[in-house]
Amino acid sequence: MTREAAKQILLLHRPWVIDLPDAETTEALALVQRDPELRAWFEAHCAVQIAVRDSMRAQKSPEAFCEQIVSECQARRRSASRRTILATVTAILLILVGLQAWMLFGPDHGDEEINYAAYERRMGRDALRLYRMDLETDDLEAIRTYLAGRQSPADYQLPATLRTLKATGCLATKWQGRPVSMICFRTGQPLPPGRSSDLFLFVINRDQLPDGPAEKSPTYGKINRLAVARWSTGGKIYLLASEQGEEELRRNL
Amino acid sequence: MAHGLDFESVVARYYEPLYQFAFSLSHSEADACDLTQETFYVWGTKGHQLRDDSKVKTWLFTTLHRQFLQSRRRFTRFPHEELDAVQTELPAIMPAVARQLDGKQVLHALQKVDEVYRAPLALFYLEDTPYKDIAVILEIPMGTVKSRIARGIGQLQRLLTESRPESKMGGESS
Repeated sequence: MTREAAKQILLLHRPWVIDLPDAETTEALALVQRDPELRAWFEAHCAVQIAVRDSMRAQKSPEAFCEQIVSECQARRRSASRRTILATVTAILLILVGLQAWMLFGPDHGDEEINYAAYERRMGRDALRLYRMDLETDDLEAIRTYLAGRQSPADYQLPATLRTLKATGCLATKWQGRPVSMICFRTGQPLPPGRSSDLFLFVINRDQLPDGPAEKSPTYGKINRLAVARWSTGGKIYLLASEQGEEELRRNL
Repeated sequence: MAHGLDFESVVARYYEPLYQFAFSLSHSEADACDLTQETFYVWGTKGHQLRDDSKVKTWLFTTLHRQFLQSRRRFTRFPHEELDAVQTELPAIMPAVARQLDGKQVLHALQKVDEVYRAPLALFYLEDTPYKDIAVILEIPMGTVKSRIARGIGQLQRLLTESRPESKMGGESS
């Protein structure tokens, strides 16, 4: 091994690291013992190496840096955790709002059957779940005019008792593309919080639902917790629904 | 968090060497603090993925080095060089010069060393890290680690001798 080769090998030697030298380093170290010039270089080299090491290791971090790291990391993690919760809540709210909007304004269910039973179920659900009105008024003529303007059934005939009840408003809606009018009333019974109506009359043209009831006198039934009465007259099918029970319906027909 | 290691004990054990490594890379106290802080934050959020406790130190140094590269937007890797291809021209430093070196002078010289050599040199001097671990931390082959350290030492020694014109290079023995 030449002196220059030994220098190249010993360049990577760390005098402060105690480990078993490999064969090349062992040979170079042996040459150091025999070659005074190489020994002088090696001693100087080791001195420089140690001086550099000591200088680098003398560089200390700021005071209380350890405590600072711990507290800042904890604060950041708390903040990140709050952001995650906020993002999750926001995402859930957006999903709920989207779902609600879809239920309110989305297309009718494509897989829903087109028959009177399906219509009745859907109107019953809407009365319970999606209760809202386009127009809020107790003026029955205003309601009729509004519905006519929306191409919704407006030439309906209200039973005499219903005409004595206080109307609260109406909604021009559609079921499977077929116009449906909903007229809302208040019976005078105590109302659940947030409600202004407890009696709902749905009107659809008979030619839109040929399998609808043919009876001119009401027949009674239930859709979930709603009591319903249905009848047909003057080319219209009527569906009256109430949460107050069948007795209440009978009183108003 | 890796098994049996709580966050505080990992910070207490490694913050100083990590800071020194960060300082040797950035040469700025503020940047070194930020790099160290960020490294422990990453450890706090992802450290649990590490299965082997013995790899914590390597993991931390690797993460800090990556943070540094990202902060410098230096994703471009330096070309790898095998040690055999390196012929380092070594200046001869007289032992008397070596004894007179002070910390400020050394740190000043280190700042002038090419950036590509700083990280391997820092790990070489600061930590008694085996070459294979330095290779893991810097994500380069071991041959490249050795060549960069050899070149870095050569450059550093030249800078140290140049900074002391009265102690000219030469092949003199003591």
